[in-house]
Amino acid sequence: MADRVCLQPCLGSTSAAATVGRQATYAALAELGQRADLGCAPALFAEVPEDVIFIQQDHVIAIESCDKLCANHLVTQKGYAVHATVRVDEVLAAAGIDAATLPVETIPLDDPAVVVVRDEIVRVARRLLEAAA
Amino acid sequence: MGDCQGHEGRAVALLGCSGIGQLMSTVVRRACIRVAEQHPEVVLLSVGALTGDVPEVLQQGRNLPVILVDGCREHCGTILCEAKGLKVVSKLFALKLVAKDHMRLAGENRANLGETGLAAVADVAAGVSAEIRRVQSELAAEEVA
Repeated sequence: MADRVCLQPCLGSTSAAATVGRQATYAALAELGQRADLGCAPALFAEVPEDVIFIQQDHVIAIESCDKLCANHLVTQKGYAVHATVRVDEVLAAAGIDAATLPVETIPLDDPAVVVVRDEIVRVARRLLEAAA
Repeated sequence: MGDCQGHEGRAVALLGCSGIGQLMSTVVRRACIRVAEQHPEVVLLSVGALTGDVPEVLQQGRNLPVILVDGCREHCGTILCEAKGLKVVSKLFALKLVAKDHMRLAGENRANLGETGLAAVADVAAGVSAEIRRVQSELAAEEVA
């Protein structure tokens, strides 16, 4: 079984939820250390070898900012499986955070919106890694 | 309206690579968002939505002239545009837009750009704005001709 996770965010550019997901992915990657890889959507689409290897070998966690589920679509279109999905919009809503009030360009890593999504990604990643151990 | 004044109404689409692994992808993403916020006639396309085959985004990219900004030597944006049948009228390579003094990005944090990274964002945004203005002028000239 895989002993790593690949964090595969949607990489939207037009919504604050996508920016939260992006920043939370970086923060979760730092927390998970050597047990996580960072999946890049355009690179996976272009079949850059390391990005293909990540989704071949790792547990894939899609980090989606909305119900379009673009990261899920991309991974499955490439013929691979998504093992868990973190919905940024749902995590923020559950925490009572309105994404519409956040900037799109960037959001600090210590912003409560980023922190709550980071924590959810890390929780899901640890669950997958523990199940595989 | 800044740089695009006088060319309003000629909508163009802008696509930056906006990947996540390379520092330059963060620079491109932030620059493109800034440009789109400054220019309402610019439709910002999202690589996420294109890889997700979101119909309305695909339609925008196929109907509007697209200015593409690739972030690194993999040129994933180019590959994506070709595969999805987008109408690319101009291709920019981000590194060529960054001033020499702002190219030393070692030590910069892709999640939290510092002084040099932000200067690179400003360089790329300026280059993209200039290219938008050029494309809009060209489109206007074609309409007259």
